Amino acid sequence: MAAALLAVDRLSVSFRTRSGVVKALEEVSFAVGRGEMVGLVGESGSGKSVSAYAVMGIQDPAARITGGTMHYSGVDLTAASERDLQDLRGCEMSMIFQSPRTALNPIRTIGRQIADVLLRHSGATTRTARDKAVEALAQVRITDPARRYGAYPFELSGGMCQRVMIAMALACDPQLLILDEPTTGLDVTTQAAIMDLVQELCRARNMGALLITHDLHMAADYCDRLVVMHAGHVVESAAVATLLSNPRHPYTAGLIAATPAPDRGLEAITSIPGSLPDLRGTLPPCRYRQRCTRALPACDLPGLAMTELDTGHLVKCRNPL
Amino acid sequence: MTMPLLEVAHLRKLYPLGPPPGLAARLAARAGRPPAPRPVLHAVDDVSFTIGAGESLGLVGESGCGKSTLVAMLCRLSDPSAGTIRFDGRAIADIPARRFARDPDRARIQMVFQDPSDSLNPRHTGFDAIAEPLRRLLGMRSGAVLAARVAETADRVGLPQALLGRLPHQLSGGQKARINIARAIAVEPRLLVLDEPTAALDVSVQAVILQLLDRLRRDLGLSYLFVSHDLNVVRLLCDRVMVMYLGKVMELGPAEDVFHHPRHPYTQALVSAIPGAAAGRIRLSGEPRSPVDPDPRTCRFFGRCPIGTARCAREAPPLVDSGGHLTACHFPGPPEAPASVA
Repeated sequence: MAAALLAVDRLSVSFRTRSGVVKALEEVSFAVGRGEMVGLVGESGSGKSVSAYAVMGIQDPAARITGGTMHYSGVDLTAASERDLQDLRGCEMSMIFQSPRTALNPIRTIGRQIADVLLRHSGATTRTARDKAVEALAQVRITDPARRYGAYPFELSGGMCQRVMIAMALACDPQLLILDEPTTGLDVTTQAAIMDLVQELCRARNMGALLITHDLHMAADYCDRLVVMHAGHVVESAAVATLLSNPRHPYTAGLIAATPAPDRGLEAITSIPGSLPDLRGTLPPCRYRQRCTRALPACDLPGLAMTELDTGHLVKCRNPL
Repeated sequence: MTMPLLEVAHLRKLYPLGPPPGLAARLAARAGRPPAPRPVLHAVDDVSFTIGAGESLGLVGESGCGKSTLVAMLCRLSDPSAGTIRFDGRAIADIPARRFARDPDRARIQMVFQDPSDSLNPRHTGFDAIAEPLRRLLGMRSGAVLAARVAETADRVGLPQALLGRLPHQLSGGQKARINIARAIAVEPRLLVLDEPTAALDVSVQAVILQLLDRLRRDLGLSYLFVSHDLNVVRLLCDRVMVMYLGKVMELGPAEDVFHHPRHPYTQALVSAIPGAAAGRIRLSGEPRSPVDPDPRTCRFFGRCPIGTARCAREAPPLVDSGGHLTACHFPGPPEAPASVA
């Protein structure tokens, strides 16, 4: 895949904290192609959001990229200046955040917030920005967009606020859309409506999308490929159907077994023992080692890398299922 | 049939909106002119159901449908506007919420709140959190008795006793969830109200907590009211499910029945929206109706309903029982075939 829209290659990110350096990401690689939706799944703390923030260049001041590269359609994001990134963000690539109510400015009308993005990036004038913002609101199926232009976030429901976020993210026709748990805290019916809308818009515009979620079912419904993360490592990546029907990494299998499903009883779901390891100090080559039931003595040897077990099915495990 | 543990009949919670009548309006009222009626928000409107001893009832619905208002009334944290609540044969709806805090039944209806981190006092250790309701509600003062009871409860929820001295920030999400469950069951309640107990947990620990709740119910003979919008979780833990929409009960029936053969169009849409659902997705269009002064003759779901007709606008459908499966719809879906409305 030479023409990937976004290619993250062996990215490592660490955080300097008072209690030591936290190796939040280590050699994380994944790619998003045009017209493709890639799911990034894993427990909280596994580095999903850190990866997305690093791509957008909006990571915490304590974070430092210690290795690897990120390319967005040929542009090296790690080497790009802050000015270049500002031109890319919100225009070429944009992000939808987890809680729409906190991501929106509470004291600015939603229409103005969309217009702000248009004014910064699309060269719209104050007058045309308003019309375009109303158009953007109509596109995410907000009824009566001209009147809603003047609404404040608190006047809208959670689902409506998330639609506004989508409208804002899509206002400048981005090529890459990053969705960080876009439907957490929304009702199932709203979740389905929002995700259907995102999928439809992505397909219509041939956009690449990166969906961060911990809901395997949702990822299965909407994504083409899944990347499973655990404690800052990518442990497995494959096409959705392959990954869910034939997981090779014990962690992926554990996640699937832990997820309640319509055809599964309470006895059939099992938890993953233990919790994420402390990411400070020296870590074993396999960060799943302590929780794994299939660990071998060889698991402690250095040099563990992603291996392609099948076409497009990469696993980071010495004793795959 | 034995008497149910909890019997709720025609429960209502209405919130008047806008400012209370001013001096001029009150004087006018005294002069015989009736004041202009204030708009009223119908948060919970004529809800009736029962929970049997040892039974687990699931409560599902979108946010804003009145789940939390209903729960607050059942837990006697807020006072109903109308209707009755009978708990173990005793009418408790008329006891003011303020006084219920010192009522003997307070210990017998307990709650587990949504976010295990937010609902623990950050300055209380695990021991304090579990001991507090024992001191307050059962009047346990003696250190030895209290300590033994806390230790016993911790064992019951699978919390290592070594962790009892820790503060919430030193515990994992699953451990905090266990403490929250422990403090609710420590006072030996009969009814446990669980408000999205696993929503804030990672899927990797969700399963053990759900299994723990299921085991506790069997071991202690507890009744559950399980509030959640994760229908996959509700299905695992509940015998019956109640679906609410804008303050009204839309459907109430055995869990397997409701999930596999939903009859109300809203339930059908809800079930089809579960991620991973096999059936084709039913999209709901249109805006929900306003809960403020709703027309009592119109079905609450009218306007978003894919099969609504003029009759639904004229005549609100009553909740009709058909073999223990209640539905409030003029055109209930087929009881046998699964939802196939495209």
